[in-house]
Amino acid sequence: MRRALSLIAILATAASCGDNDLQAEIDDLTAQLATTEAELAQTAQQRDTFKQERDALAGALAALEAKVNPVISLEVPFVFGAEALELNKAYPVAGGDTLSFREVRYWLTGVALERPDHSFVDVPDGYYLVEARPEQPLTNGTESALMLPATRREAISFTSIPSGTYVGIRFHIGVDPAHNDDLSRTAGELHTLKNMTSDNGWMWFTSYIFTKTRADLAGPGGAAVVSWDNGSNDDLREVHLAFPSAIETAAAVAYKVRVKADLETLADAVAPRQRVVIGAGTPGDRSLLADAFRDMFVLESAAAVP
Amino acid sequence: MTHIRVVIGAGALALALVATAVLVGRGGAAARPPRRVARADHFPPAPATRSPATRAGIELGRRLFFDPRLSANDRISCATCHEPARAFSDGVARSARGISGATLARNAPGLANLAWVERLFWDGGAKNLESMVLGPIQHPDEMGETVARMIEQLAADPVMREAFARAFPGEGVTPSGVMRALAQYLRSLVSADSRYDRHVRGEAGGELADAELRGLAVVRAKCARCHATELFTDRAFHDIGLDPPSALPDEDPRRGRARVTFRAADERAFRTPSLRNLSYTAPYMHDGRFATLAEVLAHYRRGGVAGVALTDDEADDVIAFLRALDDPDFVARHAR
Repeated sequence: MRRALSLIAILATAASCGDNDLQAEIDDLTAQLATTEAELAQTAQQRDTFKQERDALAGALAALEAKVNPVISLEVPFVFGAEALELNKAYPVAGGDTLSFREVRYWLTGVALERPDHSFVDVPDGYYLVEARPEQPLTNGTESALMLPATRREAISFTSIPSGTYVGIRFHIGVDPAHNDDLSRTAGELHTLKNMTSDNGWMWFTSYIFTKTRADLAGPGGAAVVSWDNGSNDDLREVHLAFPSAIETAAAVAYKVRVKADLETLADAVAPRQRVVIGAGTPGDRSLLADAFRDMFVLESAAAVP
Repeated sequence: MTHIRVVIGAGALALALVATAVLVGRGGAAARPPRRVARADHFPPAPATRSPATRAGIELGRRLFFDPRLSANDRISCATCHEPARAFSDGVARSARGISGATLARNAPGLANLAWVERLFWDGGAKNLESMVLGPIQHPDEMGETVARMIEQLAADPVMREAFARAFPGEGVTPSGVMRALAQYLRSLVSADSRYDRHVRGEAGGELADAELRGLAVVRAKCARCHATELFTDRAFHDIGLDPPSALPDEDPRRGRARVTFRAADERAFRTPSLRNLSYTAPYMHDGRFATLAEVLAHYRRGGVAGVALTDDEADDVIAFLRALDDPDFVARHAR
């Protein structure tokens, strides 16, 4: 601390005196900075140790939380009408067309449970990538040789919310502006290497792609590859669903909140024959797509796991 | 917005920027000119940043800026098109030095005083320096690199691993670290030591000739609506009536800031560049269409949406003053 104050004093002097005095003060400052740099390097080693300890503690904390808090799972299965989504299966949509989904992905963020007084309890670092997609190359800028394995991820779980009475759930589709505007910020599962940032010029426009849908459209109007992306701050949407009845959560008990994501509703709202491509350059359609994603969620149940 | 100032007792001093100027001047070639503290406390307040600079972060950013491993063929660095000797521009209208050899859509702008800029690129499409830096790295016509390959290469280099460890202890070599380090380096590029700056600060070497003083008065009276403050830019976007609006024959003539905002009022609008270091950063405009300052002034003198009425003498005085905004120490300090 004393060195820091000394540095500030020298800087203050350097900023307020003439050229003739500056060089000596700069040299003094330089020497002190070198000393501080050496100390910082030593501190860096200590920080690595602390980081390992922190990770171990975090693991222990999670295990402990699972004992004192409820274990809550949020399931968000993709469905098409009454059936579970099957990739590359032709589903009937309006106008005699069929739609075969190649992949569907979106950022599910800002998860929170609602108390009876309508306040919310947030899940810390609640940034999750929900997806149903085949194996695909990592396309960070140009396509790379690295492959992202096929993934079907339609559930998250958390143990950080304390026991209590909850009457609903809230989450967002997309990424909040603070993180969306700065790709260097990391939180939860946010990362630049998930094919959810740089496609189709997004890097030149904003940060994360909030939702990504690829599908094959076929029918009387011909075949087309549907490509729907959105992702500007204006496209962030909140989903707020009330539970059928309040749930009383207790420590170490498992609960499941099941919310189906109905792609038939999505397709009806967006109308793929009218909107084959939605992207950075189509703000009106991006907004419509964001609304459609928000509106496709239907709460099925919220209860303790038997 | 926040002031880059630290209050000590009753006085408020631009310490952060003073420190930055000192730090960037350290290390490197022995033939460098004497270090000099460039005070920027006559500049307007700078926006807050989430990633405060450290010496190790700036140094890592500087290494990355000049590192060709950030490109797909390992031959193109940021400095390929942002040469320090040209105040971080490249001297051509639109570069073809990128990975594909294709001529780019925009002129490579000079880099200085970016700590005061919140929206990057000619159309402001990147919201901060951290998010901006991956744009050129990944662009298929610029550096064409993948983030994954870049990280793999950097992480395999023990020198870079050590540099990342100093800058971001415990984090390893990460895309986020690359973004933050480059952003810190770019924010450290403070140009505030032109003859005009010394004139403002009342320092030796700040004498301006009569023509330059007359030119200053003309700039303040007739150009400051856009070239505002001591940054000589309002950091906004304007349609200045360029005809045609783009040098690209097949580009939508409505492009510009409207690419980002989708507002008709922003069509053909591009960033107001600073008037600093213009001797190093020719040619001018977003597509580099004007080779000389005389051509630039001729455009404004023709009238139109951004027309400026200038007599021949006033135009000569303006150009004389603009030379006083050159910062040769800034250029020399960052040359390798």
